[in-house]
Amino acid sequence: MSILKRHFDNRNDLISYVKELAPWAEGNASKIRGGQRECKKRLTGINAIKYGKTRNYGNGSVSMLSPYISHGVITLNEVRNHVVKDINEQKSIETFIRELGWRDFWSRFAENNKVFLWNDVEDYKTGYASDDYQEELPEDILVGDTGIACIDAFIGDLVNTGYVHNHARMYLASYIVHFRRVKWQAGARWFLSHLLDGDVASNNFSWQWIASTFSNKPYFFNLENVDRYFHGIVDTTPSRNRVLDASYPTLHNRLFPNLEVQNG
Amino acid sequence: MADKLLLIHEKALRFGFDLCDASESFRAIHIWDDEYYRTQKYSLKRLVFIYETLLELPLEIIHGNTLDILNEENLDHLVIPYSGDQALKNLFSEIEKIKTVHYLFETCFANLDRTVEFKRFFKYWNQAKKTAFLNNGDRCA
Repeated sequence: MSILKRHFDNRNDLISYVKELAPWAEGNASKIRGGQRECKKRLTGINAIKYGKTRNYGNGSVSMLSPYISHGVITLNEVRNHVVKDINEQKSIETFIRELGWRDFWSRFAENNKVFLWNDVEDYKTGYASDDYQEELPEDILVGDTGIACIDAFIGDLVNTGYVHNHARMYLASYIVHFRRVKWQAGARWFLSHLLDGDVASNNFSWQWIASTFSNKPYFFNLENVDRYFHGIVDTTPSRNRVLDASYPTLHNRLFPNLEVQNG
Repeated sequence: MADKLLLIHEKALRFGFDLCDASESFRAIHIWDDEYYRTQKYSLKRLVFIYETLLELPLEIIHGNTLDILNEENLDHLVIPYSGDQALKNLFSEIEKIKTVHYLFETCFANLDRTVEFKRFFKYWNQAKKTAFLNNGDRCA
């Protein structure tokens, strides 16, 4: 037992110190900083009305408070109180408050259903059984070299910063489970090791929502959708994202051949 | 001399809990438990984020095994912010075997009966939205 250091000359010294404490920990430090001060900056920067209109866009007005919420630097209650205090019209902030609700929902469900944190809540609704999915993440995904430009960029965000835009998380999870047919658990474990806001309940049940083991249908996407929301942020050139460059019916029939054929 | 020990864990990196009244004497610690963090498989990014946050809190960061350290503490009251996180709940169960623990619960987000289970978000939200837009969620317990 020993008392650890509390004062550092600069951030690099702090990072070196933590590296010595945990030589087994992978990767480098994120540019995203911890602490109450950083959290307050983000809290005061929230524009809940704009969030509702732009949150799906890569450059949308998102709060980036999730790492601070996950580590209890601030509570859901405090974030909500901050947002509702100056707003008279409930409708204008409904999207923001509802997103906080998702975290509360997952947490409540996990408290009563811990067995489902790492097990399928329901069967896959993809035409495949759980055993049809790979157990481990392929190496090209782990190193961000899938050959799909936008996916590799999102993997870069995950590995380098520990933060990925929520919409990009959905793309990544969908790509892993449905385009590569890997079990959601493998992806969930990978996300948890990197994400600064990694929370088992929110993370794993969100993966199950994408996978369709905790939702009514699988979530999938195409390049047109990525281009609509992340144009200019990641490379959406068709020639560099061929696997994703198809219509929804085409992708549906390719990804889920055991389901009823979709026309269009 | 502090008569209560507040154990700040990685899912509650803050102060300002209702019980931390100024009139009470608290000593606050975080235990940097190698085994716990290694088991969580946290990357360096996350560990730096946690340590950086700890530096802004008025507490001691103690390096070692959680149970060993708490065992050595001669204390009457151990106070821990509650967390529903499964790894922490497992740790809490171990701590309860050696110390009497008082948990601090945060104000909930919405005023809902904890025993009612919602299997789909829209069912949850239909109930939760009645209080989710109110300051302190209508003071839910």
